Amino acid sequence: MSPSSPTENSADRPFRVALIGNPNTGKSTLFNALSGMRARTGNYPGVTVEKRSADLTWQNLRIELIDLPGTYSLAPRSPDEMLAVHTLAGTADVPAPDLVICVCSSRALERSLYLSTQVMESPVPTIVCINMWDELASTEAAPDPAELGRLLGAAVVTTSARRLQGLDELRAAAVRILNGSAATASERQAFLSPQLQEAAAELRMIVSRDVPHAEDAAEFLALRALVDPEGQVEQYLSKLCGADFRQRLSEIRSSLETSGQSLPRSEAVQRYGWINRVLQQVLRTTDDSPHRLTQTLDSVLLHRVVGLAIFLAIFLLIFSTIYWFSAPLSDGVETILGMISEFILSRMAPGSFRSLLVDGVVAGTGAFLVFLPQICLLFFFIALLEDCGYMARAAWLVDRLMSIAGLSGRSFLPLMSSFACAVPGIMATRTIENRRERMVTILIAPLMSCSARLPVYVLLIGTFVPDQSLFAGLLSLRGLTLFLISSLGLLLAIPFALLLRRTIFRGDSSSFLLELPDYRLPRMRVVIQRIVESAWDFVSNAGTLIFATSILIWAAGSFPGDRVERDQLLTEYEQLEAVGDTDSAEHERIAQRLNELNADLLRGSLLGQAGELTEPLFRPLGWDWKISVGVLSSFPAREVIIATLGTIYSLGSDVDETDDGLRSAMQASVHADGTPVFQLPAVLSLLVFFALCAQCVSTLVVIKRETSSWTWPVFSFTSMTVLAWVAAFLTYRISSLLL
Amino acid sequence: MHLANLNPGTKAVITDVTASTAGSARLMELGFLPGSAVTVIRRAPFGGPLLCRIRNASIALRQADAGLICVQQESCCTHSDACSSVAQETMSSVVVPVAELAAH
Ligand SMILES: Nc1nc2c(ncn2[C@@H]2O[C@H](COP(=O)(O)OP(=O)(O)OP(=O)(O)O)[C@@H](O)[C@H]2O)c(=O)[nH]1
Ligand SMILES: [Mg+2]
Repeated sequence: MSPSSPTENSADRPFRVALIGNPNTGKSTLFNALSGMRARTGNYPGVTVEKRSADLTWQNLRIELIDLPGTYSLAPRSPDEMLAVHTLAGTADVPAPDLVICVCSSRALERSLYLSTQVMESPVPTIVCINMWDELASTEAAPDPAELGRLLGAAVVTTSARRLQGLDELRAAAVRILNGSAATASERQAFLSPQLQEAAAELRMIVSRDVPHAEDAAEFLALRALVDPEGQVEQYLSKLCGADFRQRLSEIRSSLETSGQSLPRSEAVQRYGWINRVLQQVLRTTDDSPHRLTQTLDSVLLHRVVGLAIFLAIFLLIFSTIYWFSAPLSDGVETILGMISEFILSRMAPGSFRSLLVDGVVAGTGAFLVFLPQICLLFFFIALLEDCGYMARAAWLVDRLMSIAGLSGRSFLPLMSSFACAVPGIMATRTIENRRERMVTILIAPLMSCSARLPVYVLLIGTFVPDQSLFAGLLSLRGLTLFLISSLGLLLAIPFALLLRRTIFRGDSSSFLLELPDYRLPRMRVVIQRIVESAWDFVSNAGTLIFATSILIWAAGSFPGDRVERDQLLTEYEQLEAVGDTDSAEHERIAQRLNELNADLLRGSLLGQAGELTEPLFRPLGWDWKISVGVLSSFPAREVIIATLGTIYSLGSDVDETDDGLRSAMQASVHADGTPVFQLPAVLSLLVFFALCAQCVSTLVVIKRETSSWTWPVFSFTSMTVLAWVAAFLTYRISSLLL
Repeated sequence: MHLANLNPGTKAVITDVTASTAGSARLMELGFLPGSAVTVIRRAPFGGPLLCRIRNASIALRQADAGLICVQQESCCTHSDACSSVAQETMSSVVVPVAELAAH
């Protein structure tokens, strides 16, 4: 096993440097510190789920720095984890890294070194980087890096990524190895027993004979296969190697067994034994308790009564706050939009282009932007909870509850993130080890009330639910309604998950193994960055998809139709208004004729026809054709409905209320027989429909990507749409009877 | 005695980890090994997961997984259930490479 010689590296390829380490040891923080990039970090094991790379220059060397998801060992149980072994062995599609930086936590050094020693058995040169050096309780508990490095047989560097300390030393150590000026790895340590090492050396012959491109890594692969019975590496090698490999493997294992070394236990025992003895030499004290702050906070936040109460209070408070705080903010945005419309109206003569700007662009896109403050607030809370370390506690608290639905606390963070957006939520399920559990989590994640639903909820609730306060002003009725409708998907997800776990995904009960990190002060920079990123996502979405839909809907609502008479009348009307003549019979006549024309034009347009066509489908839910069109247009992305409704009501609205915004237009809209469209039952059925329907193409695409099959997005779409319709129907019927 | 039966706050030493499927392998990677000190910090309400302190990390694990781990309380040494007798065997039969270290 000779390390791949760096001199082979041709000048046209940068050196690949990979960050590997246990979850939550600060790999992404270190990656950001070294690269100036903004990979997501958070105080929760399993934040990074996809590798990310950055191009850098260290002392004239071109470097490609790679940040990887965290792992506790190189005994992969899923193809995703197998990627780490393939990468180290150079058997993946991408070339092996030229250097691995093993990121360890100074607090749990013993556990971190377990993975490091496994990595050091690979052919790739290794630097052991002890991060979070600033968190060591005392200098007493600090190992001497040089001494530790000598015993380990690898360069040891200490860093505090969060404070940008130790970075230069790390870069220098890396450059020394890449330049080939560091001592070579001739002094490689043997961490396992001689029998295991010999067995690996023997199997190596077969592997290097049968597996292409594995010369350097043959012994590493053989060892990984040997120590992890029925693991991914064994399966991989069994496929490539001849029958003699499997036969030798089982012979070796049984002879090891008789000498008292059963696998995989012996690997752990021997490795930890070795690390233990090394640490005894370099550590003066072993301090084995969490930080004082963590102990104190946990005794409250994890208390069986108080802790649960706080948990509930936190999430109730989040939803109330979002409502309270954002109402004035949204009013502000609405006022600005009103001023823009006003400005355009006063500067341009009536015509199709003015209508496009005011009714299409401002009314559509703008109506949607009003909700940006809510979205930012939601992301603020989620980022805050994650970065302080509470999310892992919440997962611990709810694990029992989730186990009823056949899931575990591991599903909590993916589901909680789905309250912001199902796309990152579904990606976060990669940390769920059990495949069936992960599939079920993916399928119920879209039921969580994502931030794109929030605008619809806030619009409808703010317009039609009376503004009352409950419990002596502690809660508002609107806040409570928002909380309930946001919980609806979650509540239905429980039986749905249970059903899936009993039918399609039955079998192997879920498990839960999670490290609870120490509490850390959330970094405002990280939190703000998260908000800005998601706000930008949201706005750029509004800028493209929503903008395009607004125009499309405007066009469909304006054509075909002869608008000459209307525009002429509108010009006359505005002239009358301009001279202050608003009481004459002439003004009255024109206004009435205009309203008739507007309504007729909208009905006769493509949009009106489409609405007419689909109305029977949505009639049983209590909706008129305008809502039907809105819902139809929102299947690609649910937030589009706000833009559609904005445009529809602006186009078809009566002239004297064009500028009062969407809310009053909706309040004023009536059925043909004069009864208001939006009575509480219809509003509730619309809310329920949006809570449950799969109106998001991005989510379906991510489901396809994460499950590598079209079956599941199709399944998800069909089941959720049917569920939404039925639930909305029941809501309409029942609330019509009750209210 | 199993880890699952330990009272919160008591220190104990692991005597054996029942070999089962992938579950026990994961536990061992995290350091749940014969001879290691472990403390149950607290239990989640309604029979939920335990929170343990092992090798300077707080690990949450379910009662079912904790049932795979046999322990002996530090204070008393008169426990002689089936669990610990198996453990004696495993502990004595562990072969560890001391030679390499001494070579340094
Ligand atoms: N005190 C201190 N905290 C750190 C340091 N480096 C990272 N952290 C914190 O540790 C937590 C985890 O950091 P991440 O960079 O997300 O860790 P990671 O290794 O990428 O985690 P995964 O992607 O989940 O595997 C965050 O809360 C960081 O702020 C450090 O040097 N000192
Ligand atoms: Mg990370």
